[in-house]
Amino acid sequence: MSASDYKDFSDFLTKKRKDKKISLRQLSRYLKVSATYLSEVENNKSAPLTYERLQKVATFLNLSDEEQSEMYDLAGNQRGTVAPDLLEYIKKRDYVNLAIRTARDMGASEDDWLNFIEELKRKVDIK
Amino acid sequence: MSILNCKLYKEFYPIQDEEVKDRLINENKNKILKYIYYVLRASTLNAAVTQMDYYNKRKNEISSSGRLIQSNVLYNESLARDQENDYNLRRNSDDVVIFEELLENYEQNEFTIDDANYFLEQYNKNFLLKLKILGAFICSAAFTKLIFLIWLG
Repeated sequence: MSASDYKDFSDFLTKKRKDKKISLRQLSRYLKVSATYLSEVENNKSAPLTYERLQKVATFLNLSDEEQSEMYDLAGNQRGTVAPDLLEYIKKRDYVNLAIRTARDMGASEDDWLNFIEELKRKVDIK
Repeated sequence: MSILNCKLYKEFYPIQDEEVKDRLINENKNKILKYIYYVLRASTLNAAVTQMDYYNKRKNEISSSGRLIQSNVLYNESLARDQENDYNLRRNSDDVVIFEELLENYEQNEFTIDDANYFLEQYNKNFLLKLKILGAFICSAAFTKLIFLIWLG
């Protein structure tokens, strides 16, 4: 797995927005937040946006699936929680907690997890 | 389109292609820069003055004997909420960040069509506001003169 090219969520948002030539004004209008607030988020003076707003950012900036995952991971990291797109999924499924705890207690390595992911993908392909 | 709109607005708005945008910039370099600086300075100053006002209204939360004054704590909390919801402060703070970015884009030759249209909208709004103030001044002067003439008989 490659490390992110971005320092944190604020860095990601600022760079992606500027790459796509979207102004702070346009994005804040779309998200229905003030430009001041968005500028604070980009300057790391406010916590990352909520999940609903992150979804809107993904749509407005036309982010790929990979970029979206990276954005959610960075937002989660900065908030000190899991990625916001996974929160609901985890909350609704107790067995995910069980899986993670088991992996933790058994000292599962990155390879173990990658094998598990491959296995899941293979299953989907067979179906 | 209103006949009262400013010349620049009437001539260029809405800009739809790069060519027109470049013409606006080339022909009005000073005007654009002057206006961006003007808004930046005015909104920065206004926001700072309003923030200072709120700061000055704050009351001491600790008494001289070191006791916490609960009523002052509540008052300061309500003041903080007022500050957060202050429309003028929010508008001025928004203008600061928006025009800072506009200036940055302008100086780095990255002024987009949307930036140019936004500049024209704001420039025209400011022009109409000045016109309104001038109109009100003329009306009040004329009214005063009329009253004076009636009084003189």
